[in-house]
Amino acid sequence: MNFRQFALNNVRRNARAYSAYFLSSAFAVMIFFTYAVFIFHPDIVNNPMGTTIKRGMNVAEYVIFAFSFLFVLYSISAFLKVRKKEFGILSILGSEGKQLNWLIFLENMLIGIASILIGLASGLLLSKLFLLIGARVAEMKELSFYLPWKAMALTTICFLALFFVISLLTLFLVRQNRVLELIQGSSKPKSEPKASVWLSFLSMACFVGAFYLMKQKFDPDNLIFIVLLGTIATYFFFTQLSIFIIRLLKKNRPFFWRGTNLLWVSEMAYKVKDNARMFFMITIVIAMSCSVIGIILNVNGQMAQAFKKSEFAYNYVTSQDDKWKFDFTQIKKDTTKIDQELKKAGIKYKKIRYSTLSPGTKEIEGSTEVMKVSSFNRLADIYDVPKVSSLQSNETLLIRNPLSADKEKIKKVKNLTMAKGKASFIAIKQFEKKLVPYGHLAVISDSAYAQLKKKMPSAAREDISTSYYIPEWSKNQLPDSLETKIGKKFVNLSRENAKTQEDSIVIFQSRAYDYVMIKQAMNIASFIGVFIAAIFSLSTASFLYFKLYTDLNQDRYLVYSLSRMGLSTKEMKRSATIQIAALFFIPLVVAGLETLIALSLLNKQLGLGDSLIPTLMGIGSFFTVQLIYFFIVRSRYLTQLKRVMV
Amino acid sequence: MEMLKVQGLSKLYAGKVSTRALTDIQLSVEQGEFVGIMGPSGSGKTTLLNMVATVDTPTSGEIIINGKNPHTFKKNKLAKFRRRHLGFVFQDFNLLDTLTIAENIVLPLTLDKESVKEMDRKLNAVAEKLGIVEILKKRTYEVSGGQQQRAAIARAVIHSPSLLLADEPTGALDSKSSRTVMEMIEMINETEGTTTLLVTHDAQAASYCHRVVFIKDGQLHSEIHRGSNRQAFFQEIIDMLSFLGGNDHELSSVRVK
Repeated sequence: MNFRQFALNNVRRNARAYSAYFLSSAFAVMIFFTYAVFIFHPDIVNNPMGTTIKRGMNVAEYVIFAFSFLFVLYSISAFLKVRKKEFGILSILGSEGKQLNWLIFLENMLIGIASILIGLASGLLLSKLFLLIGARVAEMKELSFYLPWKAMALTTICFLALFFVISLLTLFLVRQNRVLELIQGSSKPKSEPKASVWLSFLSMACFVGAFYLMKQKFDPDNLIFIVLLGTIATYFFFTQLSIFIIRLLKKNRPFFWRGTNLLWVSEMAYKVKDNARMFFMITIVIAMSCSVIGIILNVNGQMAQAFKKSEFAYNYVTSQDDKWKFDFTQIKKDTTKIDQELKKAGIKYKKIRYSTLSPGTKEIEGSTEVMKVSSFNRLADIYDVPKVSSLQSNETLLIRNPLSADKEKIKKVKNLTMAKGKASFIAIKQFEKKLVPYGHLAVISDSAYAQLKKKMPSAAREDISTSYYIPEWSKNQLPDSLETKIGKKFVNLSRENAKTQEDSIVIFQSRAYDYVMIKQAMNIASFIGVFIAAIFSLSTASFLYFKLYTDLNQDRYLVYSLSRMGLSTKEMKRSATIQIAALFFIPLVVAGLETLIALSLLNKQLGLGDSLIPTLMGIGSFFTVQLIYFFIVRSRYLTQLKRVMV
Repeated sequence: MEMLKVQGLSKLYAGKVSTRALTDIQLSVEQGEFVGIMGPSGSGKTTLLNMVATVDTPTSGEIIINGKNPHTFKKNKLAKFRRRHLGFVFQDFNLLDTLTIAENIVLPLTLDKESVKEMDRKLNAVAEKLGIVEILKKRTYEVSGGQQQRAAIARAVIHSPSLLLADEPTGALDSKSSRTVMEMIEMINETEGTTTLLVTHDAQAASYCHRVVFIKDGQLHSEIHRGSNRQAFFQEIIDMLSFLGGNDHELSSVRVK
């Protein structure tokens, strides 16, 4: 038997010990591969879904890879810890450090290659399912199965490199230990986890700091600081503050010295300290994906609202060009095309053309468009709104956007100051209706409109909108309705035009198509978000399971001696359940709280509306999944422990 | 008063080759008595102790501890019985690494939810007695084996058990620590009147007992009582062990030649 055979046999005959490490590696490969199959799919590659989403999908692949790296590194360090004794024996028998390194390296590469093969094979099976769900979520037609050479090559290369680097890294993990330590293996008692008061304090300070920043006026620069502070706070929460809290709990003897508390509280400090980094990672990932899901569900709801409350099916908007002129021939040409298309489909429509200004108002944040009263009365005809007989030159009729977040504030607005104070109006009446695509609408007299136009800042232009009101489509169907199809055609046409003409000033809006597109993009984003978070929570669960099994022998011995001293099965179950539950749910609870606080504060600032329900749904789904894992792991763990109870 | 009564106790391990570990053991221990059980390897002394400790069930016969037969109890009640009426000292101490010495000692009391004040009082009393006051705040890996075993004894007697069961308490200790530990058990037995059952290979340790019972091949062989002289008793034990045909290596290194 030469050394290579020894390494091979070591793996082959010791399959059980290696299986956990092997399975987790294969799992990482499988996930990475499945996802690669999805993003390399020809239909996805050719789908016009916007660069942001595509970039997001690629970033997700990097995230999965980075996580795989940590995942594999983590499992191998846990795995090597179990085998310390074996290495000690080999050292005593006289194997050189170089040989030992070579052995570990060989083993790693063997397992690595095997797990790549298994991962690819199982990934192929999984990807079929994945493509099916992915297509449904993205509301695309079914994604056909294909032979993903590109994905295979990428996965193989990435993971070969990964296992190579990790094999090198593990050499450092083993080399530092002296033979004596190796022989004593994992049975050596660990010293009590220490927590620094200052770092615990820092964690709290960061939480408070992030909270304070969120309370401030929203600013994208702040967002980075908030995320940074939140991350630091979470990291030190798990590595320091939690240990500190446990120490405080231990000082509270009426609590600590009561029932099984003594057992699980003391054990908890070790378990939390051991898993702190993993808790940190999973918390951040869950918090982020829950936030994303919360925001997405929220935006989705808003888009649906916007769709339902929009009165016009299509809106064709032209802005003035650099010379303050309108290209009327272009407008004529384009709207005629739309007219023809609608006539061809046999659809009755009402068309109305009006011009608007966006002078900017002091009292209302966000856009407020200004319209002539004569245009408004023509709109009112169509959209069933009471007409306005006449307005004084300093009077205005304010029509609130029903989707706006600060409607209550606007209700109190009495005066409107426009064009940087050059014009001001008294709001004589207000009501709610969505008549223009964006923002609120202020109606002023025709003469006041003409004057305002002159006072406008030089950068602002006048817009001419052509809105189509189609009575048949008021009760709208999605996404394959005729409305969406025609909308898609013209949106694409205007995009094509935008590509050929620089400084395009034409926008075609279709409420239905816009909604479908945004919904699709959001769906893909949330699908990926959920997918990544699901992987994280699944692998965390398997980690915890793996770790519990690593410590099982020790725990069994402990429980056996405790049970001889009179620990009842009930008490053992209680103590073990609390411990496992804490491992499973502490990160989730922290992530949930962070998400809820962050979203509720940010929503107030961004005016996203109520996000409590969507966020709770996101957290709730993770919670359900974790709960299932928890019951499985708990029952298996308890079965093992119950065997040694006397 | 009779604290422990073992009557017609037999244990049969069923299997492909069933083994008879114990055959018709009769044993009676009075309150406050300090009894040693000795015998060669495989003689069944640990089996006997395990059954008295209620962690193993007899095939036939019965064990009465303080007037009760715990083998008829349900599991949870049995656990409570062990916790309140029995005290255990093991060869490898079985202290929890995650707890301090003090916490280890009060563990059985916390399970019974006693008040902290009461626990503190008992802890101080027993620690004082066993001379481990200064290590109470330390962790198991910061103290010596002898100190750990003294802590384990403290844990075993803090609830004033009816019966203290010691399974090779000196097995993992050097001779000086062994002596201290045995002196402690003897002292507890004398001052508290705790009935004590000791299983050991160590003739030196056994010489602290009032009486030593010898088991061979699962059957009671003989017993010898201690007179006034411990040294003479020790010699008697050694003689008996060599008579029983125990292997030399089982004899204590302090054997007098």
